[in-house]
Order: sequence, then structure tokens, then C-alpha cells
Amino acid sequence: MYGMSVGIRRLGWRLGLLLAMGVWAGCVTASGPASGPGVVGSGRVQYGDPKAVESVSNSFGSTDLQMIAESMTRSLLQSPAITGRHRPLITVDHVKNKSSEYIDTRAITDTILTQLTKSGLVRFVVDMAEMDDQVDELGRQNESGLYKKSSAKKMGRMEGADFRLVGSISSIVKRTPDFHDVYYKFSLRLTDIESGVVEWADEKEIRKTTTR
Amino acid sequence: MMPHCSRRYQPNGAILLGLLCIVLTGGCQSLPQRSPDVASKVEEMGLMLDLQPGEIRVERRNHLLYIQAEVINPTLDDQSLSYRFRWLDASGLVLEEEAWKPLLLHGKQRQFIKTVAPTPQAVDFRIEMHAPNNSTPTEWFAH
Repeated sequence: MYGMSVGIRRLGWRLGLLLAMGVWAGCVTASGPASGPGVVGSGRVQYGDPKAVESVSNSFGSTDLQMIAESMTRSLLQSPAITGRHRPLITVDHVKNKSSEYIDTRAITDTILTQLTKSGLVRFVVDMAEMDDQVDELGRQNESGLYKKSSAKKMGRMEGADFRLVGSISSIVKRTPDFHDVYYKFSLRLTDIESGVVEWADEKEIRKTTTR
Repeated sequence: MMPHCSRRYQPNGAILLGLLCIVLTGGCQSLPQRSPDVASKVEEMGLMLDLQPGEIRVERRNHLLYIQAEVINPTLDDQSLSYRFRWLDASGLVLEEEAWKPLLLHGKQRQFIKTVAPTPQAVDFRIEMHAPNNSTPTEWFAH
């Protein structure tokens, strides 16, 4: 009888040991360092979907930027000012941040510019922010004496834009101890530079609410 | 002595089995049906049980594809949805996958998702829809 109980006890110990080893092996496999060709590091850093809906907080985020840029681009492509001309020239003026938080408005206009350029229906000319670099490059090619005259791009041949894009982003924030509501409004206008007529305008509204 | 009535309401195996059958048959409601036109354009990431993709209208204006897709919330509760368009060229190659966009539908509301193709080269599209709170893997219903 005693021998039998010792046997059972030993069997129990062995089973327990096997179980512990299994759990340990599972842990090592699950949380161990990432390995394999082209992978360096602990494996704790993960790449996410840059186009996923981001709802980490109420502040302006990547989904807001992407939604605004996409909405404005698609609306602008339907405008008679664009469809009525062959690849009109546009320059980006500024987007004023009138909201209560820091927003990189240049990132919004850059995305709009990229999407519009990819459509192939409009072209962009150098805007005010890039003009110094453009003038420097032209000056270097023409005045430094470093370039062949035949390949140096000539001064005074830059294209003037037909339209300029100007916009603003504003926000209204309402906060109570258990409620935080942010309303964003992004406005964009396309103005004919020669006539000063606003040929197109649109807005994108976003509401983000957090309840505690 | 135990009162007679308490013995009468003692649950037994047959009753539990019956309740289980009711729950199971109640859970296996008829699957939401999609028309072939909708099913060919909408890619649901899991079958949406509480939201329905409705009519899709497509028109070409000024060389660009105009899309209007209806989404219906037949329930009384608010439902959330994420969606995005995938644009295809004449060869069926993907031109662009948009960013995911959130959409809130109030109870019994019909919403129209309107968009226009990003480029004249886009001649076809798919709408990806993902409703995290009410989608179910389609494999569950395969058996």
C-alpha cells in the first residue's frame, strides 16, 4: 500500500514537472525575443496599420488628418473650376490654426497636395514656403558658374498659379468632469488669383467625444 | 418537511436541455442576406448582423467614378462602423487603399457614404466594412 502511494506521488511530481516545463516553453515561445531573417530587437515593438481608425484620445490625430485631406481632395476634384480647365495650376497658401491645440496644418495641406497631384487633374507650383529654396536653386544654376549654360534652367520662366488654396481649422471644446467633447471644423477655399473670385469652398466637420 | 411547491420548481435535466435548445435556436436566426450586386462590391470583415449594406449607385462624371453607398441600421441602438474604399484600375490592380473612416449610425438611421474616385484611372472599387461590435466570423455559419 505504501509503495503504491509513493508511486502515485512520484507520478504526480513528474506530471507537475512536465506541466511546468510545458508552461515555461509556451512562455518562451510567446514572449521571447523576435528572431528570424531581418528581425532585430526584443520583439516588444509592433508595427501598426497607419490607416487604422485612431481613437487614442480626443486631440487631433492621424484619422482626422486623413479624413480631412481625403474629403477636401475629392470635393475639389468635382469643382467646375478644376473640371472646366486642363490641369490648372494651384499654389498652397496657408491654413490658419484657430483651434485650441497645436496642429501641424502643413501636414494637412501636404497630404491634400499629394492626393491632388496623384489624381493627375491639377498641378501645383512652388508656394511661399518653398520659394526661397527655389530661388536659391535657380541662382546657383545661373550665377555660380558651376553649371553648363545649356543645362542651366533659365530665370524668369516660372509658371504663375491660376488658383490659390487657403484655409483654416477651428475647434470648440466642451468639458465636464465626466464628458469631453471636441468639435473640429476644417474650411478650405480655392480662389482665382487673377479675378479674386472664390471658385470653390468646402468644410469638413469632425466630432470626438469621450465619456469617463 | 420540504414544502411541496419548492420541489415542483426544482430544475431538472430535461428543463435545462429544453432551455438550452430555445437559446440555441433563438441564437441561430436567419442569416442576413446580401444582394449579389452588394455582395460583389462590399467586403465585410465578419458578417455584420446589426448593420446592412444597402443600395450602391455608381456613375461616371467628368472622367471620375461617383459612388453612393447606403448603410442601414435596422436596430434601435447606435451602431459604429469603419469603412474604406479600395480603388482598382482597368486591369484589376489596386490603385489606392484609403484610410479607414469611422461612421456612427443612430438607431433606425440610413446613411449614405458618398465619394468620388481619386483619379480617372480608377474604374472599379470595393468597400471594406468593419463593424467591431456586431460582426461575426462567417465561418461560424459555414457548418
